[in-house]
Amino acid sequence: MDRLFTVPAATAALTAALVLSPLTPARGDAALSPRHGTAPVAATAESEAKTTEAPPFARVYLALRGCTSCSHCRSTIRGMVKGSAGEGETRVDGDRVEVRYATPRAVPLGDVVRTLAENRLHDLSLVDVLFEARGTLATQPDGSARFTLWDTGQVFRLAVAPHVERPLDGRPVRVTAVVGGWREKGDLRLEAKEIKAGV
Amino acid sequence: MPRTTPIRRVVATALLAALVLLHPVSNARAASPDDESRRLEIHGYGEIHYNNPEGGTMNRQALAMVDVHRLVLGWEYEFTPSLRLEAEVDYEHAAGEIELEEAYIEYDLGATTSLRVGGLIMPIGPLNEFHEPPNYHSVERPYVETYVIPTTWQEVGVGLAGHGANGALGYRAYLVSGLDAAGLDPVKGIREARQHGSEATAEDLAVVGRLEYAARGGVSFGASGYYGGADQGDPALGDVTVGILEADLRLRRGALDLHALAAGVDVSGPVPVTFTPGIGRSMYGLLGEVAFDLLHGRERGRHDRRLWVFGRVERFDTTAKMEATASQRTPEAERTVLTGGLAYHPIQPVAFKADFEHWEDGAEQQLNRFNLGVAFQF
Repeated sequence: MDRLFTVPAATAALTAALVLSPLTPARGDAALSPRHGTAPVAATAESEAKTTEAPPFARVYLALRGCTSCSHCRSTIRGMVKGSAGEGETRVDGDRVEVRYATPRAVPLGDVVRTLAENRLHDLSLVDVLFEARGTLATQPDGSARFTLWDTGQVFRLAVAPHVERPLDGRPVRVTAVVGGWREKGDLRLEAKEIKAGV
Repeated sequence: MPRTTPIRRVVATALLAALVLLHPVSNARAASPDDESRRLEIHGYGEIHYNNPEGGTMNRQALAMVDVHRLVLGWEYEFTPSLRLEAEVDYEHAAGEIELEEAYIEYDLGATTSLRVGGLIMPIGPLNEFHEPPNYHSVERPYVETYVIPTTWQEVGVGLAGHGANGALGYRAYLVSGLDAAGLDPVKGIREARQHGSEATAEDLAVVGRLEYAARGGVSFGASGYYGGADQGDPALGDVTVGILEADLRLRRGALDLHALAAGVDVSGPVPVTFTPGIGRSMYGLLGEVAFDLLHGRERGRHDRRLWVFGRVERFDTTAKMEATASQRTPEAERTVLTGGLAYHPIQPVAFKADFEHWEDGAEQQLNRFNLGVAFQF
């Protein structure tokens, strides 16, 4: 009889540990888990950049809300994004999707974002989008910034707030920008969160 | 389902220990977006119930019961961005019963099509694949999708899964091991004929598939089919085949959630199925549900609260048609269930539920049941 109580109790304890461990942020990972509703995608990207080796040429992060944990939802989400990401590598991690472009190439940012923004799955909505890439900046006559992806010639209009440190035009930079405008029809908008020189 | 032996409990404990030990390491590695080849993601769901009286009986004198009905732990291991393992283990009734829900390799043939090989959840009905408890409003799973479509149902096989139209269209088509007709039951239907991929006889195979489409305006349609042999080469059973057709419709618009489903099962063969008296040659199930979110529109942000009030009517009969020579009918197999209650989601993946069931059967028995439950998904 003791054994019947011992083994299930151990099983229950380990089960509880396993269930609870995703809810406890690991060290250094406090901002990494959007599923707990506390970390914006921008903080996620910054935290990951600090703990990784050289980042890829470009990345798109998409934060989702809804059913993202079951295998069928993940499979569908992965397939939808893959179909629009061109040669990007797609990964689904909980309620976050990452599309990575390891080497310089044009990024179908609009296609990737609209695929999830306009999906008809019953319980899935796009919450936040972050775009990160290498390129150069150029100031336009009207004062706005133009961000050209390295080696591709692909150009994005970029809004840069006064508090964002901005290297000189023409220098290699790595831009992390929040992508907006996908809730409405029309062009997407990029707003710089961080501009790093020489990355 | 037989209770687990002590050996199986030890194995289950060891498996959990391995997952716990590996999980922080794997998560740390997976936290690096530049980790190209290894990625372990863990997910799961569970539900705890109070039933008064206990479920599965029409005995009004049955006692109340509480149950850790299920805790399911699943993982996805990404060998490469196009090749992954999907698996889920179901610990039912406080780990008194352990069942493998799925264990398959998925290989992306392209952006929209994948090959799946292994223990596959049958694409029959909307609930069998999407059976996580926050996805339905009631404490217990709908009974049409318990007794007519035997959720959760998985078999070993191979097939394709894919989607189109930006996720609006989805399909799964598999070749799997068939049912075992020796498990057919007048009241439980084909539920006990499932083999679960556990040393399953594969003399008879079956084909199964589902097509679903999400139209604009929150309307979605689905249709499923299954056909295969079920005698598994047992000469005592004769030549038995099982066919299933199912169709469902759902409307989600604003605070409204409407759901309807019809399913039919046919057990046939060139010789009468007389190995067990009272087995239904045909079974059917009908379901209609309406739900309304009382908090719709009041909460905005990442974790919308929801308070669903719902009502559901189900009518199903697992002996709708029997052999003309059958000497024993089973009036209890014809059942009508009315369910109504509330489901509160403080966040979408967690639900606190309370509902009331009214049962009537063909034997003129009636029973009322009160249920409470908490459900979660992560």
